[in-house]
Amino acid sequence: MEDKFKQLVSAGDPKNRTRWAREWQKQGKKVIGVLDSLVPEEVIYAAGMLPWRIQGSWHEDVSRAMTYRHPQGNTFLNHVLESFLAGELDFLDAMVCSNRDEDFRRFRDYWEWLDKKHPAYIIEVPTKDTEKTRQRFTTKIRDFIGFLEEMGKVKLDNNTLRKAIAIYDKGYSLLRKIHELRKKEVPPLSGSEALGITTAAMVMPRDEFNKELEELLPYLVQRKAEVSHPRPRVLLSSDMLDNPAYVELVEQAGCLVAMDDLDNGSRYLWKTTDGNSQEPAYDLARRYIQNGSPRMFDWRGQIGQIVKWVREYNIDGVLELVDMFDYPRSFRRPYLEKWLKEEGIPSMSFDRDYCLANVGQLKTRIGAFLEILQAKAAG
Amino acid sequence: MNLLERLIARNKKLLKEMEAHPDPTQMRSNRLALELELDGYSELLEAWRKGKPILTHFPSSGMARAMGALHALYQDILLCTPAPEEGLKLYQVARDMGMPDYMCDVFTLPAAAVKTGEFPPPIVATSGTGGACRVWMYHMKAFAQYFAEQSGIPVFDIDTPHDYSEESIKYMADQLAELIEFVEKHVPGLRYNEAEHAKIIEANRTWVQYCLKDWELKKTIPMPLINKENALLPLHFDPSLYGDREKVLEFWRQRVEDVEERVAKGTDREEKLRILWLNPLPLYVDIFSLLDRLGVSMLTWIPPLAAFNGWRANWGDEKEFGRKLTPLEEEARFMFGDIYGSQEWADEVVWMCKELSCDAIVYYQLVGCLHIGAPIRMVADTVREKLGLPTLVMRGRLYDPTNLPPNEVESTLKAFVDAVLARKG
Repeated sequence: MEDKFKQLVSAGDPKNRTRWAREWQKQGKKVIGVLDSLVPEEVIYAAGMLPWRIQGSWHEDVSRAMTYRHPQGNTFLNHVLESFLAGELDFLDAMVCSNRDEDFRRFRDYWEWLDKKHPAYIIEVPTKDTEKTRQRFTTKIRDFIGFLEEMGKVKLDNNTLRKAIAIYDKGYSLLRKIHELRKKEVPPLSGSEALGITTAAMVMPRDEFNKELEELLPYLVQRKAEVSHPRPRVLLSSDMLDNPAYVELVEQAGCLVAMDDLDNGSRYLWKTTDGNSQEPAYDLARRYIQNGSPRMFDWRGQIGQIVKWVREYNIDGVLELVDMFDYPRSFRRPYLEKWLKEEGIPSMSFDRDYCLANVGQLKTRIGAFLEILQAKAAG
Repeated sequence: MNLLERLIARNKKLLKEMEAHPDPTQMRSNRLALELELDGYSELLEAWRKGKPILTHFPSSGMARAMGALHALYQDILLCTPAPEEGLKLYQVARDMGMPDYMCDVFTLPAAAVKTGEFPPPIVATSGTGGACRVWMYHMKAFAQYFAEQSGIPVFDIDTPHDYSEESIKYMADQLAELIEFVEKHVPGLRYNEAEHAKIIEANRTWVQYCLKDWELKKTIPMPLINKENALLPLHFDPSLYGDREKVLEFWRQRVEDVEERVAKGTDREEKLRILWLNPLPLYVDIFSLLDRLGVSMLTWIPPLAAFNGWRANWGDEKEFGRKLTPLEEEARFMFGDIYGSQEWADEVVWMCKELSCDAIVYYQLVGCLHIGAPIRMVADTVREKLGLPTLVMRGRLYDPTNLPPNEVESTLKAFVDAVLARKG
């Protein structure tokens, strides 16, 4: 079982991540590259296509990409473009992203400009949650369905969409159970393993992933992760972080990442859709609009959720690693620090590159934060 | 003295000098321009002193006026009154406010200027309306949040649509209606007057007609205006920014007449090159005079909103959607006037180069400007492929010479001009 677990955790690694997509395509089915977690994958799956999460190149060199990119563009997109220019994403039948921020919009424009063969679709996701914005988003999801229907020459009815939603909901529930286990003093999986599992979900056909995780769950309930430092317990907050080695680095510095606030982590799985209404596209709109991303305007609500997690997971401090030039998160940063302080929660925030670079500097900074936490614990 | 007081003093001094030493070579409309600016600064300062409602960081000046309030485009004031020493000190203030260091100056500096008391503080704030630019949206959110934390001002979030369509315009207009209710509830004495709003829109329509004429005159070869005269930004003289709309329209009438006279008269100015300057300028260097000395006409900088060059419908246009828009829909349409996909933007730059018979482009990539700054490669490649024109890319800030020192600006521009001239033969 341990081997099976390790295999699942490493499914998102560069050497493994295209495996399921290639097999899918061998069956004559399409693979859609999904650039961010605001895109409703259920719709793609319902259309008989595989939503496959795009990751960036994990190499440091992004020199080709930088001839196109703005010097103050986020580093995740730099690495994705590098991967794209290296031909690593040529197998995709299309790419879809949200209008997460200005950089994503401009990135999508470049993709379309550089690759005339494969469509690059952008879906508008509102920035606040009201009945009107949900209705607007529902319309945009319907437009997206129309795009997929045309591309795949398929017809997508509500029942098919509900079935896909149910499969995804099952996956979210299983992942949530895993996350609940992280509340234990010695959890069954480390922070990096937890990230490995969610990123696996994003590159595998969801029913296959669900089956594997369901089989693993009884084993994980009694498993104890090899944790060198059960304390301090840290909550890691970031976006566009998909490399478990980053979390490993944090843990190696002398702590346990016991919970996260990642778009590729807890925020990806925390809510189910419950697509049982007359209009499953609306149900999806409601779920995805409550994604908790800093690009949404409800900063109070997002930080309120972090505070809740801090209490529930017995967290000692919050570490925010901002992708350099992630504008929405950078703007939110002072309020994260201020509002956590008001709650008596220590936090530290600093910028990072998408790829694992400047390791020495990172370790020093993380180490300094952990010392603060240890000093606080010692009274 | 705050910035407004200093600007008032400056304009008064300039007007006095103009009176004492009339210069027949100057355009007559220059006087009205100075007077208008003076009126605008004075109105703002008086309202501030008397505690009258000023809706800063509001989506539209026209809407603010139609509610009986004032609105000021702080970024426009900072852009049009280059004062490097003012700008430099604001960077540190912006950092202290928690603004990211790589943020576009057009957004951060006005926020810092409010913080330091150079401009009136907000009494209510909106976030989300940046028109096309989604960095602006988060700047507005951060600005609103900052002042909500400091002084408890109410904040209204607007969800800005991604695309330009009639549906998006209606979606935005509905939210503007909600914003009006929100402001009326929170700011005593403000009431929205739709008829007044319609009048403002009518004035805007006339204004844009003058801007279009001004644009047509830019096609003249050689350009008879020196670069500073040519550099007038249409948005700086938007009638809804000023109390006396008729005076603004009179300024535009006179401006167009002045330029027409110059064109009719001709010029002995040697015009070696014609360039399009995209995005703002490094304001710590006198680029206008430098280019004049090099015999280069800068035909426009910060490209005018699409509405000014025929790309999109004008205020009051009924053809685009086959119906008359409500005033709030008009506002929404104008806000989206510059929503661009990068390719659309590149095509528009090609169009502008053709219209104005440009020989080259200088693209100033402002730190943190993703909206206009990110598509540089696409624009440069498109312009080269379609028109064979070269693009010079420079990177820097508005006021901070450390990124790009003045001598480097000058030498780079000179080298580029030489290269384009050699190529032109």
